[in-house]
Amino acid sequence: MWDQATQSLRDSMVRAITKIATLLPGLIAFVLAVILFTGLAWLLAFLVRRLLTAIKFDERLGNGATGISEWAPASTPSSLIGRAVFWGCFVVGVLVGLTAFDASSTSLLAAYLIGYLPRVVGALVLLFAGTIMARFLSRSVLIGAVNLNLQYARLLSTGVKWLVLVLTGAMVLDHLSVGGTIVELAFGILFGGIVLALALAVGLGSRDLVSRSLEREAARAAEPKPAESLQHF
Amino acid sequence: MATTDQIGSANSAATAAGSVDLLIGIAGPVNTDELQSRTAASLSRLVAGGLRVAVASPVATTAEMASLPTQPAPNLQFLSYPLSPASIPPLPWLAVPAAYREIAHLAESTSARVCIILGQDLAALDGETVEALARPVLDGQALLSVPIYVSAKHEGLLNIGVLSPFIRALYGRQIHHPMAVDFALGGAMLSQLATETRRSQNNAVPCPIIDAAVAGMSIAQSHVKVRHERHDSVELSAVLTTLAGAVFEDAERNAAVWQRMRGSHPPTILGSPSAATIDGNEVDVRPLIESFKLGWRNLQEVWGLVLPPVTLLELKRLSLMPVEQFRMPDQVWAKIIYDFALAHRLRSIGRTHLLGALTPLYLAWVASYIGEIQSADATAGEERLDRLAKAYEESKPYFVSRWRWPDRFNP
Repeated sequence: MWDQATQSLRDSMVRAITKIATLLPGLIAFVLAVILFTGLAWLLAFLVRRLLTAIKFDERLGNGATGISEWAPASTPSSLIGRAVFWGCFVVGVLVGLTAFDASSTSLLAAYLIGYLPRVVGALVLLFAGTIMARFLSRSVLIGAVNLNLQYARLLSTGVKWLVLVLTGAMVLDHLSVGGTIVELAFGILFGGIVLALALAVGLGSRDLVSRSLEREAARAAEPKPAESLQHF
Repeated sequence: MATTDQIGSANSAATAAGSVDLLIGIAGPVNTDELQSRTAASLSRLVAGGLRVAVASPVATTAEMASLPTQPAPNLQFLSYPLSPASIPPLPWLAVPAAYREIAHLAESTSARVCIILGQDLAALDGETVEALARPVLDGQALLSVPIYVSAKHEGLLNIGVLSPFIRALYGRQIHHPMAVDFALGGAMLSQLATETRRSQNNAVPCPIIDAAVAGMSIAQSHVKVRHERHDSVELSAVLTTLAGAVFEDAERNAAVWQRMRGSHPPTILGSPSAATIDGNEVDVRPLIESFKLGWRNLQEVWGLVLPPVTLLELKRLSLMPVEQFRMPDQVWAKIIYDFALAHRLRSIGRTHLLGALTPLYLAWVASYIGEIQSADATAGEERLDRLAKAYEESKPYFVSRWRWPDRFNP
């Protein structure tokens, strides 16, 4: 009995070690590919940055770079390109490593997880882009609304921020295939609900307020505008 | 759409023109008929005096170029330079940056002794103004001649509150209108403009005053009776973003120069000032203060990224002041501008956001300034401006220190 149990345990151990030994070349290939491509990415990014500096890329781009620098104010266009090259190479390295790992793996679970990894990367990129966009748009709306003297500037800005974040969340979950149609349905209901709530609020709840505001606007349009005596430039 | 290549370069027109004494370049799209009639009426005295004058205006199409009479009178000729319709100026009254490049090119080709660049509304195209601008350069008194416009108490506030004192403190020149669209230049300054405009191929707003100050060239100011068209349709934040942004960008480019400069001196001033028009109606500052208070309630998060705590405390105090006592100390305002210039350089936040967030603060300064000079006469207004400019100069060490060590603790 004891011998049988020992034998059984030994067999299990052998199977586990065999499995690890089977995975090990793939794992080493993965690590090697990532290290190799990271080095290559660093070298390429360095070369691209040097090249762009040499041709005075940022200065040549001049005002055309305004759009880029608005989204990433702390970075110059050349450093952004350098970073994009680095991370592009790094992702390629990870994918190459995964292919090598996948080839050496026979487990269904491992194959599934490896197949799922690109989705996770895509979802992370979506989340990152969505968060940046939400922050940028919210700040743009806030400053623009304050300069237009809108009393509900903060509300507007928060609304835009959460709208973009909710949209991003739905896209991320959809990309990860989490929740299936529930996410789409929930997002549709939530989004539609917000719009309906706003419509109802304006149409019913704030009816008097809106009509007073419209009347005021109409009266103001009919009145001749007083000459502005301030001139800023 | 005709492009520069399609309609040829300004050089061909200049070759036909030969050399001239005075080249007047209109820096933006202009009505050709109006230009011709105004030129004939305005420049007759100059032309009769024996000066060879050429007037250059932009054209967008070959047909337009052909429609221009080349020599309507002896000593006077019309030239054209190509300007793509795509070269829209950031603000309607500003000169098209690409136009400066072409005019400088024409001036070099025609070996012009003096080049006068005028705004596209042609408000400054009259004999008296042209002569007032050209004379200091022709007489060798200065390489750059800029106008002092007629302005009333409540006009040119951005110039009074930001542009003029900032440039005065940084570059040591007391210029009334540093971003004037009309100016004359000659000699080395002309080559400087040609080089600068060739170097910056983008649509950056050019500021010859800063270029001249950095190069140590002589500048003269002349009083002129010119009032440019008002463009009230343009949003204040857009104006602020363009003009303050241009000056802040120049500060970044010339940091090595202005950090060494101390004090300021007035350039030669020619002519006598015209009496400023009196503003009939009183200005209600309450909407300006309300705009600031709205900004205080909503933009503290953004201002906190730019301004030190002590300035935020001052702003809080200001937000609690009643309208009658609403006054922003000059030192506080100067430091706000310096902090925004620094944040512009450090890109603490996006530049459009940064300059947009400056608007409510600027309105607070305007309210404070108007509150002070509402009942004062023109002399008191001048003194007030001088006091503000001195506050900028006194706060310059703060700016230099923050520029050099932006990460140092700043309470």
